[in-house]
Amino acid sequence: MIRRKFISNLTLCSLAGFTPKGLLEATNLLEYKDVIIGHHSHRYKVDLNWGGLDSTQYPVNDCHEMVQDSKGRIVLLTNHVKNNVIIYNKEGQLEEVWGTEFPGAHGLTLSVEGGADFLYITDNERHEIIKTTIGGKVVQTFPVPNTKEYKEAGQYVPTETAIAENGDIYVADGYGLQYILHYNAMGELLNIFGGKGAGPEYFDNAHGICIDRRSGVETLLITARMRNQLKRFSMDGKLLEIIDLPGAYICRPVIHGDHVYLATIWSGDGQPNTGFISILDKNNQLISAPGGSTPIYQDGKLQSMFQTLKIFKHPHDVCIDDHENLYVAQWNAGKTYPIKLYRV
Amino acid sequence: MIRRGLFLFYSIILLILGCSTNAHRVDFLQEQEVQLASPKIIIDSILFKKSAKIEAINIPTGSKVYYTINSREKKKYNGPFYISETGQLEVIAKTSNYQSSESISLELIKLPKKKIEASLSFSPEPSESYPGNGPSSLLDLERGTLNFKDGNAWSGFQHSAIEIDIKLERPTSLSTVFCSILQDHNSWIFQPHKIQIWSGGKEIGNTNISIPMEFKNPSMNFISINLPEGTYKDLKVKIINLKNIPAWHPGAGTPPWLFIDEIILK
Repeated sequence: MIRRKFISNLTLCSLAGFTPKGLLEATNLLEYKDVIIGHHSHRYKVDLNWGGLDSTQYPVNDCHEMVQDSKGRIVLLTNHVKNNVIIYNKEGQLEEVWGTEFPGAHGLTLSVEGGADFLYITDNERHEIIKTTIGGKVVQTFPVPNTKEYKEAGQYVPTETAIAENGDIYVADGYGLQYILHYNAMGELLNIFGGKGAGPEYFDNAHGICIDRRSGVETLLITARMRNQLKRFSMDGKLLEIIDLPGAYICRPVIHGDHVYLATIWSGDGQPNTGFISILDKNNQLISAPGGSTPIYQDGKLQSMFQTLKIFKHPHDVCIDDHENLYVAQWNAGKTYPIKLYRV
Repeated sequence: MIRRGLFLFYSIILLILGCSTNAHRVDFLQEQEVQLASPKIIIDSILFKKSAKIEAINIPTGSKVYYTINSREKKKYNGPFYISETGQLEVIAKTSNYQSSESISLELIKLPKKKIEASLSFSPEPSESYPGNGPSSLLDLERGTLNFKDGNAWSGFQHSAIEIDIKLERPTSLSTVFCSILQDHNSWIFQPHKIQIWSGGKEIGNTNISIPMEFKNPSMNFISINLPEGTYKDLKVKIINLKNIPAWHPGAGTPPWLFIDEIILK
């Protein structure tokens, strides 16, 4: 592959009159042009090599989810039991690995409690949620819910968690019976809602969940992936709003600032390797789709989205760092490491 | 003058040192390394009596779409068009700065004027996960789509051989059997190794399909088997699957899936 080396401190060179243009012309590199993906205010350059490691030492299967911890590090969850958790710095250099007991590692949520970082790992093979310290010490486990809805462990295949301000935990059973389970911090089940059904209050692949605090009042944003929808619920389980994203098979919503970011695993009619990233503004309008078509609204309705560039295969989660750059973890992408998108 | 020269010299040295020690180098992805996604082709009927309408949608911004029919002259797509004869359609999106899209290939078949009445049976039955709409649906002229999960047009099997018995309502003059088979390597669905046609206890025609040596794009293919010109009352279509998924594929060593949605008797 032919790549142009980008030097991030070109500005320093330019300030002193030492223009990079001359350098580039001299090496006949101007013919190469960085890909820029996305639309409007949210456009990005793409680094496919970020986070690449020696796969014999630090292998991955599916790269399922990523979060940024309080130290600014990027924490990746993979379902490879040699190293379920891989921690990088923002440049993609390895800092730490741990975790060998999460064969179905799927959901990863960071919660800062009493000034310390904790991780909630959703394991859909163990059929439980495991809370750990940021260093990997297990501190709490949420087993298969003991309710009339669940007759056996195999029916409970959780995919994601969200932690409320008061410490309550919400679990999306996205590959199971599609219920949303509401626990208090002690692990006592307080409520159960959602489930399978045709009505708007039900789910079809409740793959992701997060707490939306943008309005000043906490509400739940929950994915209904096979319906290409995000659904807003009150914290006690009442449906408040449905956001249609036709053609976008979205994973979990991730809120950063005023925006909602969603890895979109498939697009169009759901064919393999057709993913992109969806970015919604504070009014929940799709404003940018890196790797996807330009979002167009007609009569207030988003026109069906589709992939335009074959950069992503199956994006499964997106993490936004403190510099507004994105990290994209992918499911079923040839055991590749995450991709970094630099905002331009 | 000398002092200005020295100042400039030291400045350049400092800059070079700065660039080389503090630089965080990123190999950004280049436009020419990226492939356009394929447009989606909408066809009102792949099996048609008079003509089929073809439309390209989901065209990547800034790209142009071109098509050929039976590898003849390449034409630029300017809007929906019709074809009125059996033929192989190839469609591709191109632009100057990105790699061209994967080519989409579809075979469109003009049907005989009279529908042939027949009853079918499977042996073995399709998988419970992909039962299709029963054996008679293979003659209903309703095609599946590239998305095999969409609807029930596809019957899916994971067996080494599948036999489809066809009892024609009356003796019928036939020259070709077309089997519509899905290829979707992402989903471990492969074309068969061989298709044989039997009648009256004798093999009367067959075709071999080469084992793919690398990943192929998803496609719906009509596999044609020529028959000796004659009149037939019963046919057996024997589909011999690949024993195992080839070594280059992540599913190597396990039996592949076979998906069929239509049999055309011509």
